[in-house]
Amino acid sequence: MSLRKHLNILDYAARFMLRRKGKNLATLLVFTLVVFMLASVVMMMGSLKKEAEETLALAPDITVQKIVAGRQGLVPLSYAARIEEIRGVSRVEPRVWGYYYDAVEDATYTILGVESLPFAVVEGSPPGEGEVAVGYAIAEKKRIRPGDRIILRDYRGNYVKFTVAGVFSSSSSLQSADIIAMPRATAREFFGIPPEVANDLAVYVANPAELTNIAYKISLALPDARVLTRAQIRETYDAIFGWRSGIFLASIIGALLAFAILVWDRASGLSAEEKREIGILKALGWSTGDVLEMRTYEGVLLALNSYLLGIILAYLHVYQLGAPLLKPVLLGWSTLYPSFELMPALSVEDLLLIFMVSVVPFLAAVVVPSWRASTVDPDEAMRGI
Amino acid sequence: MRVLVLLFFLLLLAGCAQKGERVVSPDLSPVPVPEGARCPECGMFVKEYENWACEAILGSREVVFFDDPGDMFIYHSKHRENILKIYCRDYYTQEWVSVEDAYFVVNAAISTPMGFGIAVFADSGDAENFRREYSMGPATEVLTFQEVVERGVKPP
Repeated sequence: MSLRKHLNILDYAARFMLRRKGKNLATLLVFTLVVFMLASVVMMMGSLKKEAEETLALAPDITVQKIVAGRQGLVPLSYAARIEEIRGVSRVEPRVWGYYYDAVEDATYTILGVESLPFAVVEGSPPGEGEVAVGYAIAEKKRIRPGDRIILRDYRGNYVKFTVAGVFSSSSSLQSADIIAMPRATAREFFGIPPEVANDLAVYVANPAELTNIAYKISLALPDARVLTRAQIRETYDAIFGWRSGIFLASIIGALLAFAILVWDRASGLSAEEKREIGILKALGWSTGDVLEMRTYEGVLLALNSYLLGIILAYLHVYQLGAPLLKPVLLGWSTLYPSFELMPALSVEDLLLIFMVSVVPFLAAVVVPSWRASTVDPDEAMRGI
Repeated sequence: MRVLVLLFFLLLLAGCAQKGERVVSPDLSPVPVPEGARCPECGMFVKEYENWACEAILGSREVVFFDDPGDMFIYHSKHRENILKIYCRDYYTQEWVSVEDAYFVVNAAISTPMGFGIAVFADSGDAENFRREYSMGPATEVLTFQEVVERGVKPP
C-alpha cells in the first residue's frame, strides 16, 4: 500500500517536471554537458596513463645513454663491458633502434633492432635476417600480411625491400601501431650504425633494492653517461600527464562555472510559482516528507539521466571517435605517432568521482530549498508572502 | 540464482586452495616463492619482498618461506632439529644460496622488510665489498651462518 503512495508521488514528480519542460530541458542539457566534459577528460587521462604504464613495463631497469656536448650520442659497447663489472648487474643489452618517417602514410614509426621479439607473434614467425615483423595496427593500416614485402628507405637513400615475416600484437595499441622490429644486425645496416656502438644500453638489475645504488655507480664510472632509472622515467611521465590534465581542466572551466551558477541559482531559492505549488500541495494534505520526496525524485530523475547520458556520450566520444574535441591538446602525440585507438580504461573510482562532483551537489541544491519552502505555512505560501 | 551459488562455491574452493597450499621439495633443492605464501614468524606475504626471501625445508620436505633473513634465524632458533636445509637469496644475484655456504652482513642500517638488517651473500668478497660500500665501519663484520646463530638475532 505504501509502495503505491511512493509511486504516486513519483508519477506526480514526473508530471511536475513535464509542466516545466523548458527549464528542465535546459538543466538537463547543461548537466549532461558538464558530466560529458568531465568524463571525457577522466577517461582520456585514464587510458593515456594505462598506455604509459604498459610502455613502462617493457622499459629496462636502467637505461644508459651517452651525452656528447649536451646531446645524445651513440654509446660505445666498451661501456657495456664496464657496467657488467658492477656487482648486482645481471645483464646489459646494447639496443639499436630509431625513428623512421614514412612519407606515404605521414607517420613516424619506431624501428627496433631485436635479438628476440619481446611481443607475441599472432601471425607468421619472428623476423630472420633481412626480414621484419610489424605491429598489428600497422599491418592493418598498410594492409600487409606475412609474406608481403615492404619497402623502406635506408640512411643512404636506397630503397630496401623487407619481407614481412610476422605480425605481432601488444596489449598497448601505441606499441603495435608504432613498432617495426627487425634483427639487430639488419637494423644496424639500415640505420648505418657501426658495430662497435649502440643507441643506448639497457641494464637489468637482479635486486630492486640495489637499483639506485647501481645507477649511482654507473654515473660515477661513466661521467659522460645519462643514467635513467625506470622510476625517473615514471616521474617524467607523471609530470607530463599532470601538466596535460591541468590544461584539459582549464579548458573546461567555463562549463564548470556555468554548472556552478546553475546550482547556485537553484539553491538560492524557489520561484514564487514553485512556492505556491508547494503551498497548495500542503493545503491538500501533503506532509513535509511527501513534498521533500517529490522534489528528491525530481532531482534524482534529472541528475541520473544527465549523468548516464553524459557518461555514455563521453565513452562514445573518447573510445569510438578518438576524442576529437580533446585532440588539439593531444597534438604532441598525434604528430609523433600514427593514429592510435585509446584503450578503454575506466575505473569505478573515476565514475564515483564524477558522480560526487556533479550529482551530489545538484541533489543538495534541489532538496535543501524545497525543504525550507515545505516547512512554511500553506496559507502564507499560497498568498505569496 | 543457481549461477550465484555456483560462483560462491567456486570462490570458496579457490580460497581453500590458496590457504592449504603446501609446497614440498623432495630433493631438498630450492623452490620459487609461491603466490600467497606467508612468513610463519611475522605473517607477511613473502612474494612482495622476494628479494629478501629465505626458505627452510623441513623434515617432512615441506618448505616454509620467510620475508626477512632475521625471521629465518628466529624460526631456526625454535625449530632447529626439524630443519633439513635453508636457502637465502644472494643480495646481488638474487640466486638461492645454501646458508652453510653463505656470508652475512648484519647492520641496522640495511633496510630489510622486518628491519633485522641482515644481507646475505654467496661470495665473501661480495659481502666485504657491500660492507665497505655502505661504510658500515669495522664494527660490522662479515659472518658465517654459525656465527650469526651463536650471537643471536635481535628482533627490531
